[in-house]
Amino acid sequence: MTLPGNSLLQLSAWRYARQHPWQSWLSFLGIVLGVMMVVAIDLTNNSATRSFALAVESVNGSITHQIVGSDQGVSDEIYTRLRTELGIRRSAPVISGTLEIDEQAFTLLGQDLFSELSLQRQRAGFSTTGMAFDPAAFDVLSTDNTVMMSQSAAAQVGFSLEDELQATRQTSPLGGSSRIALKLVATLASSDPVPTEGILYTDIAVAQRVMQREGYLDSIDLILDEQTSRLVENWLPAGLSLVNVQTRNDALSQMTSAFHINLLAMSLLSLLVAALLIYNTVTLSVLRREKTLGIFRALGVSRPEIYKLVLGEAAIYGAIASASGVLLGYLLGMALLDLVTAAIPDLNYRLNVTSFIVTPGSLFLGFFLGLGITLLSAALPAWRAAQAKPITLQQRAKHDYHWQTYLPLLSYGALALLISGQLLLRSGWWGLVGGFLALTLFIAGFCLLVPVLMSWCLKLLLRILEGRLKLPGRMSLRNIHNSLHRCGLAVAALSVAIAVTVGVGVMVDSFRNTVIIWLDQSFRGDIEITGANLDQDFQDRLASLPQLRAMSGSIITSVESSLGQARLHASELPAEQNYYLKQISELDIVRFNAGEGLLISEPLAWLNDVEVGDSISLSTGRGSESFPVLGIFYDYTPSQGMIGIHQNLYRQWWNPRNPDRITLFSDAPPDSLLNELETLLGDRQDFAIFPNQAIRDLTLSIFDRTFAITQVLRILAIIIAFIGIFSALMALLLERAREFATMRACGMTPGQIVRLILSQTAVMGLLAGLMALPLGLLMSNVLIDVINQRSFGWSMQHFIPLRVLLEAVMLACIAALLAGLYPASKSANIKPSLALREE
Amino acid sequence: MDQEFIHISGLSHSYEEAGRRHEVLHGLDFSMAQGESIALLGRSGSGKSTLLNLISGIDTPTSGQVIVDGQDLNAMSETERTLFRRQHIGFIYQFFNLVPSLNAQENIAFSLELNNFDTAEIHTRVQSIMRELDIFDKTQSYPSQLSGGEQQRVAIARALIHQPLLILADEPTGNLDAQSGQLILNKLHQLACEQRSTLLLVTHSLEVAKTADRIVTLEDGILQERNSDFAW
Repeated sequence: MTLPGNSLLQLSAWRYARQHPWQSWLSFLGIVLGVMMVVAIDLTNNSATRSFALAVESVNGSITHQIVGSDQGVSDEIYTRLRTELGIRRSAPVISGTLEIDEQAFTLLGQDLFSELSLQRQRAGFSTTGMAFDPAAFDVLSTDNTVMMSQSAAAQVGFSLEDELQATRQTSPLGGSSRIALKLVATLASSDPVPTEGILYTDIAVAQRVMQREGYLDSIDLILDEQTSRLVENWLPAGLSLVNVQTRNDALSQMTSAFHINLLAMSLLSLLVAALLIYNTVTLSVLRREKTLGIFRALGVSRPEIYKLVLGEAAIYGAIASASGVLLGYLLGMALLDLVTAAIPDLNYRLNVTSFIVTPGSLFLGFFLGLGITLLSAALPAWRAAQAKPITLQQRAKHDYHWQTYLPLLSYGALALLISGQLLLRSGWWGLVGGFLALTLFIAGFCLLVPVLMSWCLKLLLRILEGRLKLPGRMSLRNIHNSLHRCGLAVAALSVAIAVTVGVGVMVDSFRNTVIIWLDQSFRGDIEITGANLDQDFQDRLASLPQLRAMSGSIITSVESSLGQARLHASELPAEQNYYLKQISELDIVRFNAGEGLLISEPLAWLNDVEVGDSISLSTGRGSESFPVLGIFYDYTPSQGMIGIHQNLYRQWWNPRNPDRITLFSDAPPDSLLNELETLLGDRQDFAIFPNQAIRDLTLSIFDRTFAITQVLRILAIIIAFIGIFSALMALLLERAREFATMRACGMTPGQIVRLILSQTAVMGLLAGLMALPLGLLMSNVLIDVINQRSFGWSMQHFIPLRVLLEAVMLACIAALLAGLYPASKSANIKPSLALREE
Repeated sequence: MDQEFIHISGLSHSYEEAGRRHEVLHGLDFSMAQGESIALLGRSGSGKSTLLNLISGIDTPTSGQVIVDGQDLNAMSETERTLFRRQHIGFIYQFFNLVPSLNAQENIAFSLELNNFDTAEIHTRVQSIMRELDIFDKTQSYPSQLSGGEQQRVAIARALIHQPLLILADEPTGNLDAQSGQLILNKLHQLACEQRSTLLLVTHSLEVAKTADRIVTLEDGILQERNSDFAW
């Protein structure tokens, strides 16, 4: 005998879903949140990356090469000679810099309009070759401090023609500034508003004046073929270099994409937690309908039909929930954009991402990932439901015992996964992806191990407490043990989410502490002064300060090197007083201090595979010169790399110039030295003074801003896990409604039922929290020693903050207790008369 | 006959389903003496279980009064009714309703623990009743490891162990074969008699009903007293 078709089966599934709205909603929520995370992060990453690429492209356009100078840039005269002596017409001078207007960052792009027309560069955002200049603009741009913007960018920030813009120009890396008045005199039509966001276009002479770079250019942009590039290279005077733009940008985008991979991996981890929940919910839904499915099988419904029924339900849930997740992910992505952008290394161009770019690929990725994971998660329970014999399906208790026989198998599986992860990690295969894959294997192994560990712990607890616990206490422990197949995965999901908190928390804390050590080592003075005019007269006046013990000047500038563009730091101080040294011999310290070589930052060494003893060439004031690498120092500045040299070496190869930074040492408290400084320097505004503490605070605030996104991801992962444990408890308690009704009929008060359930959820939370600790610490090790190392070249010290561990356990208990509150109150208030009615 | 133990007057109960009100009991008047056993016969859906729920205070009537051992259940709060049930009432169900996570002796001890008996007393009473009901070798067995008859014995032991004044048995043999059912019934009557508990036995079976002191039927929401030779 067969049923009249599949419609009745589907009708039964539909009615079941309607009769159990909680279960339906919770499984729905698990998928929605997981997909939401992936889509939000992917969209935000794409927006930030595209904005970054467009920012570079809208400033550089389709150029192939740039002529750059050492510290002061390129002289005006070089540009004229390039065009007259070599006849290179496809060239244009450029000055760019960052200005702030109404607390918003803008890039001021100074160009020579006639040269731009001859260069005919393709710029992102403009449809025609060159820029669509209005001829009238030529006249107005020659006027003082006039700027242009694209129409869309001006509309976005609310600027109108003839507006006076009060801009602030940063005069030193640490915050010295001056104010300039600009006038918006023209707006340009653009084909795509995004690339032109935050760019102020102006004449080169205006930019030189505004940026105080008269007579100098930042670069000369060129479109060259290979042959001409060699010609230019040979022609260039000493102190200038020809840079291949693509090679330089590759190094920058490598770092940015590594950060994005980290974020995406974290969001995928949330999806993994969601997958555990989906599996759990589908399994529970099958288990709760075992009897019905058994009746169907007894009535002649075939196994494939049962399989299709369960999988079909999951597909419908998965599709609707994934679509909702995509929509919510879009909204969350917009909210996260600022946080992700804040984490992008500050490069030559100040990133001003205001447009949220929707890439259809991210939406499809989220949808199909959600649907796929739902179907995969449902495949095993569906298969189990289809394989079981009708008689077995109607005997739940025996089925439960059968499940416990799988525990040894789970242990072996877990062991295999953990060992595989370890082997993969040790082998170093597939770099960053291999690191994440190993992490995934650890998490998967851990998930399999959770029911096994829970079983051991509960048995041990029962053995120890058997004689001491009252009946409700014993019942709590036994209920968890007997329902491991229902709540084991929920506990695993909570545990993984908490482990993420521990792992990321320990990593961030370790990183933060390492940065503090680095700050201590790198900024040993009491006060730092930065600015453009720290000339000899200024230094002499400083020397007259009574409380000053010593002072030291250093130069910070950008330099072209064989490893790409890097920051050059030249100081009078010996290496051991100026850097947080990672690798250097005693002899090489002496050699460095004597100016016989240089030090490079750890990320620069790692990204370019440079070791101590290698040589790198730098573009000096006297042409390109090769220097030996004497050592490597830790550096956590968000830039492409740093090279340290002693002043002795700098003086040999570069033209003398004023220091960019002066470090003051004093035995007096920094505040009293500050007071003296203020009295001495009066109202001079062209420099900034920073007590060491202020630098530390500024750096740590940047650090915290960078990692703010990880906090959000951690919280979202915990919310997903919370929903998981809530869902499992609801299903469990609804299933045990009859049992609670019997207890109520026997005289248990609602309060006793609530306590019984809450003690059970507290034990589940405690176990989840405790089990999360080893996984979390393992995760932090992988994040510190593998992921960060392979992503950014940053190594860091290990710190295990007890606070993070305690917080994690408390968080798990609180999450579990909160998740148990509603189910407990629902169970306590259940009407025994209704629950005891036979179905 | 002893003094009146249960007094029910004008008891009505109705519930709403799909927007329609269904009246299950219509102004019942009924009483039971202490130590008496009464069999309540009725067809499915006649309101037998509803009546048990009202007498035990699990549910509250739409109107009317339920007085058990001189106490008006309607006048009690939910917690007071729970505590009253805990101390004075024992329940036996057709489908046993044992707690799956407790073994046989723990299921039996459940009521005693709730009533704060000391451990030694609990131990003695559980040993004794398990021996009495011939399930002494099943102390550590969980409900899923027991046969139907064994489960019902455990349920009887749980209902009687705290020596309640009133035992409410809802089809206690309905899920057992004839032989097991008869044995269970005999034991139930024997123990109830020994403890001088009042027994209200809900059943479909006239044979089972005849083991009680009195038989009443519940039809169309109305109770009627029957003779033992009444045909069903």
